[in-house]
Amino acid sequence: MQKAASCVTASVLRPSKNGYEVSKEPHLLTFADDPVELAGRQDFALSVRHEYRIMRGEGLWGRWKVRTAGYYYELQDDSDDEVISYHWHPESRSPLAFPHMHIGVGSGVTVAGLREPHYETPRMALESFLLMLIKDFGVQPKRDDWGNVLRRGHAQYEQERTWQYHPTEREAQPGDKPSSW
Amino acid sequence: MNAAMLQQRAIQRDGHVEEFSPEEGWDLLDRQARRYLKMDGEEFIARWDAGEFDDPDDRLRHGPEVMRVATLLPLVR
Repeated sequence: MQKAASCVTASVLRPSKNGYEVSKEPHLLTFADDPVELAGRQDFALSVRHEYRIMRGEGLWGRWKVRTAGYYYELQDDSDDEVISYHWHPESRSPLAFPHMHIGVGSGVTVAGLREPHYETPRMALESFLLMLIKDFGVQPKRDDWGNVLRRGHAQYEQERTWQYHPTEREAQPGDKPSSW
Repeated sequence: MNAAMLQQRAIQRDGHVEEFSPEEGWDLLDRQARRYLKMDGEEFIARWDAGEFDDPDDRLRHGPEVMRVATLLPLVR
């Protein structure tokens, strides 16, 4: 993940204390100077929090694995307003357990009702979010091999992740209104 | 080797990126609580533990600010 982050920032994703150890509670990866500046877009800043656990795979010789426990990737503007963010927080107090995105005040959207919902998404890899910043938001990459770095990182993520979430799998929550899905 | 790579190297020891110290973790949470919620870290944690922010991602009641700070709690717990 740090290699992916290096495509857009010189800041370093650092683990919380004891973040290389097995623990019941999830560890956190984030920037010490969060939110961090982005080249090419001085009006934007990036915030990353990534929760994880270190676990051993099944069986006597189970392979050690880092398992994602949640994520929070946000693009902010220079007024600290949220532009767009992707979340997954199944272990938080929020009752929402599905991956989702938000459209924030910083996006300039003024249509009523568009900034409150939690828009369901598939699980989002950090590499995908950073690629979006480069391709769609004008952020300048900080390394020449950014394409390969993000592509390989994403491929590794696809190969090793242990679950997938598709929006059609959302469970109805109490109070949900009938929808087209 | 560019400046970005040099900075990254400076925070690595023995192949590991340096962990947050308890002081650094507290500093980040406190700074962000002050910046986004206009309260210090101690007040945020007291109110969080008292159950005030029962849904930190409820956009009908507040913006993204509570989630921004709440997601840093693993740094101080």
